[in-house]
Amino acid sequence: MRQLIWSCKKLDAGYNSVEGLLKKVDLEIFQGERVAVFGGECSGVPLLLKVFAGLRPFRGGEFSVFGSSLKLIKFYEDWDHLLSRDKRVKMGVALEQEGLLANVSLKEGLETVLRFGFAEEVESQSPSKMVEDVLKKFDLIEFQHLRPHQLSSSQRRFASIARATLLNPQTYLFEGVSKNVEDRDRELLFSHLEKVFTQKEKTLVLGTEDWSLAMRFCHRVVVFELGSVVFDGTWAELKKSNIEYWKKISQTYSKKQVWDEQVHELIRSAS
Amino acid sequence: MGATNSAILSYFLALGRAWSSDRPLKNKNIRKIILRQILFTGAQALRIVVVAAVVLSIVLIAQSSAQLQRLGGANSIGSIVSGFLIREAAAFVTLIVVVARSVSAVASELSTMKANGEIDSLRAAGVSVLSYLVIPRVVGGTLSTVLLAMHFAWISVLVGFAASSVLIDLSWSIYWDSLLSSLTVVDLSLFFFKAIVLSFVIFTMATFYGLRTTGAAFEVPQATTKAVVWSLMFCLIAQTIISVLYFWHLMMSRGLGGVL
Repeated sequence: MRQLIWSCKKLDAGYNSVEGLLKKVDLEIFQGERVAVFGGECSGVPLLLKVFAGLRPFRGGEFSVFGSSLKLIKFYEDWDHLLSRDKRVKMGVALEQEGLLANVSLKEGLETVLRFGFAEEVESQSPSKMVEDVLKKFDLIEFQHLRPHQLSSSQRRFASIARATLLNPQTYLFEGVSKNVEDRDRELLFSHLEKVFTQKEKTLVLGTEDWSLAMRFCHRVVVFELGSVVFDGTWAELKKSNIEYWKKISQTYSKKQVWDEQVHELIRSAS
Repeated sequence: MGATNSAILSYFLALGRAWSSDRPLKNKNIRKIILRQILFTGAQALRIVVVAAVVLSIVLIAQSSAQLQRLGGANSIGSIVSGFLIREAAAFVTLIVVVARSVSAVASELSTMKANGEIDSLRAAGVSVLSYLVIPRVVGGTLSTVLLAMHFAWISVLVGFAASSVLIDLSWSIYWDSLLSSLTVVDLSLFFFKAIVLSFVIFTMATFYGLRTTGAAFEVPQATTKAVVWSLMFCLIAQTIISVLYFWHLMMSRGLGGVL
């Protein structure tokens, strides 16, 4: 039986204490699933991903990660405490803001994660060697001594993905990972991600608006509108669905030529 | 204000929890960050503290020696140095320098990190923000302030002697005897209390305001201003309360409680 990774029932969450953005969200994600999460403006997708990553508390409902239920809390550091380190070891997170440490080199920044976040896990290994291996994998080794502001936007994006893969976790939470990637580097991004997802049992939740990326790596689609799930199914089911978001997307983008063939086919067959 | 107070209280509690659970001082990498903080807050601020100590000592001796000579008490100038420069000014002036220089830097650094998403990515990677970012800054900042205040004290003693020797031709033995005879354990306790406790509070407030931003760039200067203003206010109020309590203690110990 597959392990339940994230589970939320009637989940409410918001950026401030006055108004909720996510409303009564029911969602379950099992090990090995690769889920693309879409949503337009005010859909609450970035907030959902932050709740999934343990970076934002929720306000109501039930929420569990790796089978452990998290309670409602008052102060954010308690949240870090509840979402204990052993859970973080199992989860690689790359958010839309790369968040690379600005005052140290790329290599030092990645080593910081190992030395301070996962000191026990890397006790017997050399953090420096581990970081070098990952940087080689992502073709970043020659930039290891540069600071983030000296890297291109694509390199910064690759570095944030590389950081998420440092301990080779089985579960990934990616948000906008193709954003700011230069056109000429898109294939490189895809090949890097393919290296990460060679094993079938790896789980991915991908918050994105990049349809070709989502179609290449995900088989399940969840669509949010105004903080609620309006669609949850496969690509084929999405094609037949009648939700507003899909109608808008297919109408707006059906004539665009920048989409890859797979996406084009989906849009064409739907319209 | 009530919400801020409870948030500050929660922050202190979380800091205590991180201190006891993570034991950050046992981590050699965190010790390295503390040393870097001491270099920034302590070593690099030494020059301005030395200048402040020299200027304040000369001004104090110049102003008080003229009055004391008129009253015939020039020999007790050492007690003014111990009473004002060591007990009151050393820690207080150092704290003001530290607020202007380091508290603002810490608050703006942390709020910028928050705006750049660095804090979120560290948390997502399992790095404790309190142990990695806050505790080294608070510990390093507090240690630096104590060391800077000690430098302020001994420099002001030497400059005080040099000034009184030039201005009123006072000998070292008279100056030193007067200083030692008036310097009490209470004076030294107050000096260390102010240097340790007040600097701990202002650095904790700097990290609190730095991390409290929601991540928008316009909040960086706001957080810095709040950290500096509240730290200054705290230092001024604490200094006043401590001075008044000391005066009250002095009056009581001399049996002059009825005067109050």
